[in-house]
This record gives sequence, structure tokens and C-alpha cells, in this order.
Amino acid sequence: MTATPSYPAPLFERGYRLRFILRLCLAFAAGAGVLYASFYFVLSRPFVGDYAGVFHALRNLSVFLRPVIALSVLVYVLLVCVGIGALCVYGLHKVAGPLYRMECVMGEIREGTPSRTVSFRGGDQLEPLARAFNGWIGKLRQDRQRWLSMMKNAERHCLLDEATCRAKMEEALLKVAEDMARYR
Amino acid sequence: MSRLTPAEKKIRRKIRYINPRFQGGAALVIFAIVVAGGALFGGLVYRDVGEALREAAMRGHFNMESPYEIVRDELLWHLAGLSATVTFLAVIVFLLLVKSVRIGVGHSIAAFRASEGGDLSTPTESRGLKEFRRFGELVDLTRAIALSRVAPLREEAASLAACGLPAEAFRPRWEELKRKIQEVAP
Repeated sequence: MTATPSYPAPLFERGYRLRFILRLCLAFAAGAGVLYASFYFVLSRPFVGDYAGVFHALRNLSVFLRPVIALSVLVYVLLVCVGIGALCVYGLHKVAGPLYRMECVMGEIREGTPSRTVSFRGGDQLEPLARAFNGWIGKLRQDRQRWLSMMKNAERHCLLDEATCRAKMEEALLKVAEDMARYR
Repeated sequence: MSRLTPAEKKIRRKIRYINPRFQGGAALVIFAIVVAGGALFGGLVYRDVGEALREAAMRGHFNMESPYEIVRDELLWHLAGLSATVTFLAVIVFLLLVKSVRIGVGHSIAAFRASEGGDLSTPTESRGLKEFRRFGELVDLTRAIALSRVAPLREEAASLAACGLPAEAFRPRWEELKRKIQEVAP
């Protein structure tokens, strides 16, 4: 199991990936829009006064540029980070949720409590993981039923005579043991 | 549509933020890109826009109506550069995350498929993010417990078939074996 395995169905829907990337782009575009608007608001005020007034306005602006830029970038970073944080929490819960659900069901299996097959919510990713798990548990339950059926079939011969019954039971036990040897 | 009870609503809300290391980790990496991009943008804009304003003040031909007309090109180029860089890097991070999930979960899928064929002991060997290595360990633990339930039953079935016990001792062990087989996959 060292090589990366191949799986027929994709773990991630193409639409999910595209939607996530699109939302990332939207968050950054919105941030850039806010950044541009803040610069435009500061820099688009018309010059007033005479030649000396314009000269001093330009000199003062280059001096006060540092706090303007710092504040604008801070607003940009905060806005984009809030958007990205929300996107990661709400977007990635379609991956984290199924893993959590699988962990719960595997915990039930380990504890020996009756568990249902794994089913995910609409839009959840990692569907092949649930299918592979359900396939394994389904096969294990199928084997269990077959072993019990073998033993019950042997018990039917107990209606005949004791020796036949015992021979059939021992035969069934050997078959069950042989069948179980598949698990290693 | 069924109405949710307050308890159900609480559980549903919790499920949104379920895995701090996975969801929070991805967010933190992108935050770092945004902060670095913002700092670089601020530095470059301060240098270039400040230079353009000083140059315009020194040139002395004030035929513009607002400072925006002086710095528009530099500002728009830097904004485009910032947006393109952070978007590109964030998309790369997301695609790497997807690849990491594919590798980590892919090994767990292979382990479940191998289990279906009876192999419950080969380790999953999940790689990639710590979350998926931990998940792979849980998969291995679950498979090991399943094997620990089947292996003693196989030995019991084989020994019961060969022991030649009298009927009165054989029957209880037979029934006990049936009961234990029921518990293999509850």
C-alpha cells in the first residue's frame, strides 16, 4: 500500500473545486476593490488654491502617505482574512464533516455497537471513502451471515441421527475456519 | 421541511467548524499569504506613489486636477499585481490541499478495499497532512480490532472441529461460537 492508489470516482467534485476557487477570487477581488476605493477616496480630492497651494498639497500628501497606505492595507488584510476564514470554515467542512462522520462510525465498529452504513450530507466530498468503507463492512456482514448459515445448515441434520449431526457440524466448522482464514 | 430542535441546531452549527487543524490550518496559510502580499504592496506603493508625488511637486507643471491623476497608473499596476499574486498563491495552496487530501484519503480507500479482500493487517501508511495520518491510524485500528475478533473465532472453529468432545460439552461451545460470530460486524 505504498503506491498512491487509483479510484474510479473523484474524491472531489469538479464543481466543488471550481466554486471554492471562484469564491477565493471573489474575496480577493472584493479586497482589492476596497483597497482601490480607499486610495481613490484620499487621492481624488481636487487641488484647491494657487500654484503654491498645489505644491504644498503634493508635498504634504507624500509625507502623509505612509499612514494612509498602512490603514488601507490593514483594512484590506482584515477584510480578506475574514472572508477567507469564513470560506475555509464553510467550504472545507464538506471535507472535514465526512472525515468526522467516518471517525464516529469507525468508533462504533471498534466498540462493537451496532452501526449503520456511512451516508454523507448533500454536497459532501470524499464519497469514494464512504463507498469503500461500506463495501468492507458489507462484505464482513455477508461473510458473517454465510458462516452462520453454514452452522445452521449443519444443525438441520440433527433431526436425523446424532452421528450425522456431529459429522455435519464438524464439517461446517472446518469450512467456517477455512473461510475465516481469508482474513489475515 | 422538518423544523430542527435547538439541540439539533447546536450540533449542526458545531459541524461547520469541526476540524481546527484542517479548516483553520488552511485559513492560516492563506492569511499568511494575504499579510505578506499586503505588506509588500504597502512598501511598493509607498515607494513608487510617494516618488511620483514628489516628482510631480518638483516638476512644477500642475496641469492635473487631483493627485489621483498622478498616481493612477502605479496604483492600478500594484493593485493588479497584488490581486494576481495573492489569488494565484491561494489557488496553489488550495490545489495542494486537495492533492494532500487525495493522497491521504486515497490510502485509506485502498486499505478498506484490501480489507474487503481479507487483508486487515497491512498498514494504511497514509501520508501528507497530520490529520490524514491520524485518520489512517484510526482506519488501521478499526481493521486490527476486526481481525482480533475474527482470528480467535477461526481458532475456536478449527479446534472445536478437531477436539472430539462429547456432545454435552460440544453443544455449549458451538452455541457460544455462533453468538460470537454474530458480534463480528454488529
